[in-house]
Amino acid sequence: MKLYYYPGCSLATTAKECNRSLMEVTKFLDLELIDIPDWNCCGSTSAHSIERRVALDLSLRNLSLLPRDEILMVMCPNCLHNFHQSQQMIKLDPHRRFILENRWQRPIDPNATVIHFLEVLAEMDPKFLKAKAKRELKGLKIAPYYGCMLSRPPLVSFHRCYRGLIEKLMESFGAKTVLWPNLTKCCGTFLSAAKPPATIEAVNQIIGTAMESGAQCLVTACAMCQLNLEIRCTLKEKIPTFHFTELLGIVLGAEDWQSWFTHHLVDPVPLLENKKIV
Amino acid sequence: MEEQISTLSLNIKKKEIRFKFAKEIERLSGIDVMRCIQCQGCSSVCPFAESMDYPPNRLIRLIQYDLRDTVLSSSTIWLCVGCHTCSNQCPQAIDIVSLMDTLRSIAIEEKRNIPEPTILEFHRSVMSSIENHGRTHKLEIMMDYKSRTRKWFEDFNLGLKMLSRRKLDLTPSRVKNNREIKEIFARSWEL
Ligand code: SF4
Ligand code: SF4
Repeated sequence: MKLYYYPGCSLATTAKECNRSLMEVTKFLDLELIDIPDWNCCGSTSAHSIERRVALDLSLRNLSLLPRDEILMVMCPNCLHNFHQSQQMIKLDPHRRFILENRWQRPIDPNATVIHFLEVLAEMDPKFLKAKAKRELKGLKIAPYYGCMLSRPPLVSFHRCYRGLIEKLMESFGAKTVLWPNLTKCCGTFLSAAKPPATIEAVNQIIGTAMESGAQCLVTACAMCQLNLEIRCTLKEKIPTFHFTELLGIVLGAEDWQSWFTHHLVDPVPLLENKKIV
Repeated sequence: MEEQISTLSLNIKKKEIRFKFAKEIERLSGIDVMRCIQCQGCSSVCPFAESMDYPPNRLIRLIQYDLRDTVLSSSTIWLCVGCHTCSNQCPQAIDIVSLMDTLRSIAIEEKRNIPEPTILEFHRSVMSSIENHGRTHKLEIMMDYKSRTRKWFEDFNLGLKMLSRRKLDLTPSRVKNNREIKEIFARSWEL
């Protein structure tokens, strides 16, 4: 299957390991990813925070680069949200769409299908996934962590609910997931840089409660959360945080996993060895 | 606050509350804050409510009361990270993130005193990086933010650690069609 892919800034820079593991996973699952040509940053949180019009235009430019009737797959929940939000906004304000279409001479489709990779996996036959597995995650206790951006605020509340998809995926390969309270708690996003104490408190709470619930690691769908959890945790004892594609990649038989984990600040390899997963 | 309360009671006495500010916001963002029923759901889940001078429901109450200055100079609008935890919870489906965005842009436009200046500087650093390359360049953002806030040594070790883990690229990745990016950032009257 062919999918168009929007990497976004995090996966292209601070979370290369996430991108690499995703490439491995798609290789094993016979998915062909085509980068959106010449994509730009979606504006992250900063653009809509101070200049809403710029934020909208940035997302719409990316959308205008998607060929007609193609599906766009996005890995970063924040980028995904910005896509969904901008599509809704031009439905409400078609005027902006016409100005931009005219300027760029490219159509912008407010109804284009833009989905997260978790959704692609959810559509796959679980038996097919199982048949592809070369390793299993037996013995691993996981706290699934979605972060705040896979939620569905009022304007985009008709989109799919992602909760449960990480659990379903990880459990199908033998891992156990714990019940815990903070699976969608915000990690602090940019406050990590602009006001570290506020983020430290949030991050310690997230990792602390995950550990109290008996988890040995967190598994997240958000690359920014993963970074914040790693750099802002001040607890003496920490547990590692995986991108869900990393564990999936290992299960499907990827061999270059060691190079992914060199980018982690909290080394997850001892845990994986201890559980005899690798 | 005392002053506000006395203005408020005066306004009520004079029956002068006409929801001017609420109407202004509705015109700018389409959000009707009068729908808020003050259930406090938003503030009970907001992860940063404790750092804010007014938690989200109280900020909305201040808008309903037309206390424009208090709202626009609050730290709340800057500390809000736009995580949507509140609006997921809101029984009245109020889009609090868009509300905060709108309040912030009014505060910037009117050159209000900003109680959390480092946060605005951070957003500006990110925006200037996107304007220059079309994508964010994390190292440049860190350096630009440091020079804006003069916090040269904060997080110095963290920066080094991230460099050694190859989480920070030295050179930016760029959009080829830079003209389209520049146009997006141009003020509307320049187009
Ligand atoms: S959750 Fe909604 S209705 Fe309740 S106080 Fe907050 S904004 Fe108002
Ligand atoms: S979006 Fe802002 S106000 Fe709402 S919960 Fe998040 S930080 Fe609090």
